[in-house]
Amino acid sequence: MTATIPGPTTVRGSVAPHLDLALQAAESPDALLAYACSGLADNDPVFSARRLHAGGRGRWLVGGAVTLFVVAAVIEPLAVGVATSTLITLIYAAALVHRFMLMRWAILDNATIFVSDDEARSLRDADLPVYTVLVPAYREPEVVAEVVRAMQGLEYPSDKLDVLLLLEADDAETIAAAEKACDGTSIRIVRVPPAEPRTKPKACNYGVGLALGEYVTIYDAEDRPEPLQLRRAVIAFRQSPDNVACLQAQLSYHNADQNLLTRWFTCEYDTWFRWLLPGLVASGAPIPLGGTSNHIRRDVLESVGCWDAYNVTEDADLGVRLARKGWAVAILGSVTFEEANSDAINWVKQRSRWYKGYLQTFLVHMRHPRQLVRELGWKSTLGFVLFVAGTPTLALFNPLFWLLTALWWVAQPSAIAAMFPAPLYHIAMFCWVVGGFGLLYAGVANARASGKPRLITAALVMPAYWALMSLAAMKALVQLIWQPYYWEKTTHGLATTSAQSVTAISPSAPALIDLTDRTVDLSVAYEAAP
Amino acid sequence: MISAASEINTPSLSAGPRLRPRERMRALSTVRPILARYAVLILIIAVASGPGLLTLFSASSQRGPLVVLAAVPVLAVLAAAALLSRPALGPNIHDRQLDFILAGMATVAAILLDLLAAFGGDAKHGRLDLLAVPFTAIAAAVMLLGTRVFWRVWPAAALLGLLWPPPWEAILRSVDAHSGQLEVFIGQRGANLGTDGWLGNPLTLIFAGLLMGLTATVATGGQRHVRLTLSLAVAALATAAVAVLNHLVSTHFGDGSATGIAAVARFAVSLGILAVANVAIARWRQAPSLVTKTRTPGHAFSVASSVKTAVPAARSALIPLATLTAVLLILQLIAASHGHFSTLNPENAAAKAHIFSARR
Repeated sequence: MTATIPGPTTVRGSVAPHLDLALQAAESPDALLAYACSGLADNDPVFSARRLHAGGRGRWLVGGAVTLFVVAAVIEPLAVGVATSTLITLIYAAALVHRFMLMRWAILDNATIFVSDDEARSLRDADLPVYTVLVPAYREPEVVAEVVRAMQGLEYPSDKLDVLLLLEADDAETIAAAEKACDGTSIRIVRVPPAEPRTKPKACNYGVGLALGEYVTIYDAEDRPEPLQLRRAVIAFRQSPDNVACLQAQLSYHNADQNLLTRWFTCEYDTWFRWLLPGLVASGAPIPLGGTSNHIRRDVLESVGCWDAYNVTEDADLGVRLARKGWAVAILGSVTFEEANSDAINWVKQRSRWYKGYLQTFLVHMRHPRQLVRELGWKSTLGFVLFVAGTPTLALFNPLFWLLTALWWVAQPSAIAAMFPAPLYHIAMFCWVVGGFGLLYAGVANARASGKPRLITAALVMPAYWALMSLAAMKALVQLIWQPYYWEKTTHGLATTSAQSVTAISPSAPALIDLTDRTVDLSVAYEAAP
Repeated sequence: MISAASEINTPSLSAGPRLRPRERMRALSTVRPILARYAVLILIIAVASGPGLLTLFSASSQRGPLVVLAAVPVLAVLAAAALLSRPALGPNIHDRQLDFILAGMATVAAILLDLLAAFGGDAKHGRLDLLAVPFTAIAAAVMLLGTRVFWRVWPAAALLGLLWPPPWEAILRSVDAHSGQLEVFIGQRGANLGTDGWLGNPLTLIFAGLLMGLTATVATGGQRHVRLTLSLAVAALATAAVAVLNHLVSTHFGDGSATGIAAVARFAVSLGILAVANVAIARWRQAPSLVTKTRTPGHAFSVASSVKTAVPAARSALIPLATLTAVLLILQLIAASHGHFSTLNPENAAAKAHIFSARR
């Protein structure tokens, strides 16, 4: 196993539990629930999205700025137009350069940690720690049985595997399905008392209070983790520097070929987990963790206050918080297969939650920008801004520029020409042509590199996918203003390949082992390419 | 804020292969409000795009090949009906916020185009008001029916984009430049036909055939190549029938004036044939059910299938729709009064003539 894990070397704060959650759970379930709901918000309010909106003075400031902008736009429309287009174009250029740099870094120095099958199986059961797996689910009776089968497929001694199925106490349908599916297994069904906010992080916080493991990981109800993933994580933790608190496993989709949307989604995820996240690791920037398959040391998790129950991408927020406290995150070369969203409306809902969460995370951590720079450094802070804020923001800007381009084609209004003086026009054109081509090229190259050449056609028509992203970004902005804590539920169970996939990841099935091996080989080959 | 899922009506229908008369009436009473929505939708588009569409229809008094564009709205409605006759697929997942965002984007596009049509004297291309029509249709359809139902008929909305004359004019210019070759291609008889009247004009026939083909493609969903090819053949046959009939009408009634019996008869006959052909195409693609005489739900214009997907409660859309309609109508009237394009203003007949003038 070779990997370079850059990142902060000085860990700020102790690893002493923020709160003795297990003790709390035993003594007072109500206190545990209160901690799950608002533990971070009460103890470290500056890190919580609970009070996201500006207070009285802040509202005046925001209102004043908007008013000033509108008044200026009315009085001097051309100057405001040029200033706005300049600002947006520069953001585009910076974000594009950053993305390409991330890919370059990932290819040159892929910090993904790979643990071979033999190495993973070489650990004796007695040497393995207790591992807690949290599986939050809400109104998903149709997929509970499958996730139970997936948990049973994990190659980990059952007496050291602490699986907690976290269900809302008033979700009778899912509880009934879970009781039926878990009968005869060691999986614990945890009924999380109903309380606001009704979010996944609240359920996970509650679960941590009941966890027994040294390490904690989260799987969604539709996940199919690779059977050796927990063993690989244990070895990776033991061989990593002490400041590595979290391992993010790679995510991919088992129903990639269901339709064009799932192909796009798979292309995007492969680029995300193969290039962008490893690039972020290589650059030392905070890692916005994925929603599942992040393996965390429980002592560190509790010391940083667990998840923010008010943040709808609590995982991304946790990744940034870990970085601010001096902990590092690494990428684990093990794949968890999820269900790609195969329905466009369902996809927009899911993606809008992600974008809203990214915006929440950005606003939370930019409350005190100077402190953020002190903790992360300029380079990492810039990476955080361009990646976490840039992702939804660019998706928001895209329709505006598409509209301007279309209007120019059909009508050539002089106002548009005036908004883009020559130097700015050339930068914008560079972003459009080179950026667009570069992103398409990256998608195609990644489809080949990940051994999925059948996705190349989908990668070539990705701009239509960007349009969906823009819709999601707009929805995210609307919700950020009016419904900042609303958890946009994603419907699962729409995949048409679930049955085959469950079979494919069973421990005895060689297909997945082959796939994992190929993943490793291809990654190595790609590292060698430059 | 509007709750994401609070305003969804889901008509439940239990349509079997063969409905008894009483059951059929019950099903019809359930879907009647939904059918009314389609009617309201057409009305909204017609009113909001009224001035622009009127100039298009009034162009029938001109003898330009582009007059066939007047058939586009009819074809779009027929294509939409054909698309809605297909079985509703996809999960019952809806999002009212998304509806309003999508409709908002389409509204912005429509208003911008109408603003440019009204006040953008330096616009490169003309008739931006007609380019606004598909966006108006998208906005109204999404607000009234929801994104999921709209997604079933989006090709029909896109078909309305054919109303925009500049691309057609570019083709005409190209044809003009090669008119000699064209006459060789279609033969002297065809060229003579072209002098008989606009519906006998070979270019008109070509455009009509193209429109028919596109409509057939839309109606069949463009999914089955074999069927698509055959549909195009049906469209070509229908176009040829239009040509023959119009030639016969011209022979019997003479060329006449644009408002005379000959023109009216030709127009009515042509539209009738186009309509029948489209219905035939849409029904034909459900051939098995027609042959066996057993219709299953969702096939061949069965009313039930068109409402299987839930639609949002109408009341949340009424005020935005009324506002949208009023704003677009006012903008188009302003554009008409400014006279950048409109035939409503007699002083701008020259502009109209420039756009719809005969090329031959």
